[in-house]
Amino acid sequence: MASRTRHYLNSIYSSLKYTASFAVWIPAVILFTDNVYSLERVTGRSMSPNFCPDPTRKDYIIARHWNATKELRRGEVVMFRSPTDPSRQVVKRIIGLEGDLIRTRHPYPQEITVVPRGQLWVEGDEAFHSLDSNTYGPIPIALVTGRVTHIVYPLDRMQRVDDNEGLARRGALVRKREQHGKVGVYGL
Amino acid sequence: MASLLHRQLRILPLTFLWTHLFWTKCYSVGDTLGASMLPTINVSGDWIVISKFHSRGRGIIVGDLVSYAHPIDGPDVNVVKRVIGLEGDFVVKDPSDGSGDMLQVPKGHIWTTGDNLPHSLDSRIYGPVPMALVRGKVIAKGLPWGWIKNPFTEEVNQ
Repeated sequence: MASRTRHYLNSIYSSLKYTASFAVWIPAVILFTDNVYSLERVTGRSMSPNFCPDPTRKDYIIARHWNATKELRRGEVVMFRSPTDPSRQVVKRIIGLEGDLIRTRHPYPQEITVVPRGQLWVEGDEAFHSLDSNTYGPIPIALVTGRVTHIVYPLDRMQRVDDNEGLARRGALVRKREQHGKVGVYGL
Repeated sequence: MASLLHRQLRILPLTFLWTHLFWTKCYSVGDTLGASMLPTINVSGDWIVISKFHSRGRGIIVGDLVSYAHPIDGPDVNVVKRVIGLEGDFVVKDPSDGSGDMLQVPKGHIWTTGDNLPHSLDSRIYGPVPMALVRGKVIAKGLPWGWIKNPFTEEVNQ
């Protein structure tokens, strides 16, 4: 009887040890998904037809977190923490960089606005189902957590995601920032 | 013998990884510079302990000291300021200009100022700060050691 109990305890111990030998590497996984690449799920209509053309299905994408906030370009699809809900991350396309003159859409108070220093103007591709800079204004670059590089699932739309200025809302970008022009801080 | 060596070699990367996890998700230590938080934090030479359990503004209340990435100068600049208002609160835009203009802090944002109003660049300049920029809550300072207390909920004797 005693030997059987010991046998059970031994097998539990060895299986725990086996699990632990994998569990000790969990920080490596977190380090990788936070700072290098991660797999993310996209829902909602704001980026259709380029992401989630069918609103009932979800898209899976690869986001690159390495140098996420460095050398951002117009037309790039980025992932950032929502300024209105810090627990959510959203995917949008960059329309304007700092100093650019933007023609805004309905909910925004001014018709024409300049993107302040250190901020971005982001919009969804589907203008009428998107909560974007037209609602909450330009976003700080520090909110950006990654760039979207690939769509991996569904398999029939598996592709690389390139920056494409042509997919931006027509007439949104009125004028690019002048070379070497100074950009102000337009706070209050 | 070989497996013992193997185990010894594994300790190095594991120590690094677990320390990194602790540093990014639990607590971190950093230095500060500038006069904006006088008299709570000194102009230079003070160290602060940041609790990452409050990152993205989780569980932050009015009166807490938070560290956040700068909304204008970018992600490489971190600042420490005191929370004056949470989302939905009404705050005075600038107490020093005498106008008394107020505004409501938008959803998901906080209003912050330094403790030393004349020498602080804060929400009065760049507006409400998205909570997602908050890296953590400042819970203590070092050299000389002292807990950072919330003047609204704890007794501060300085």
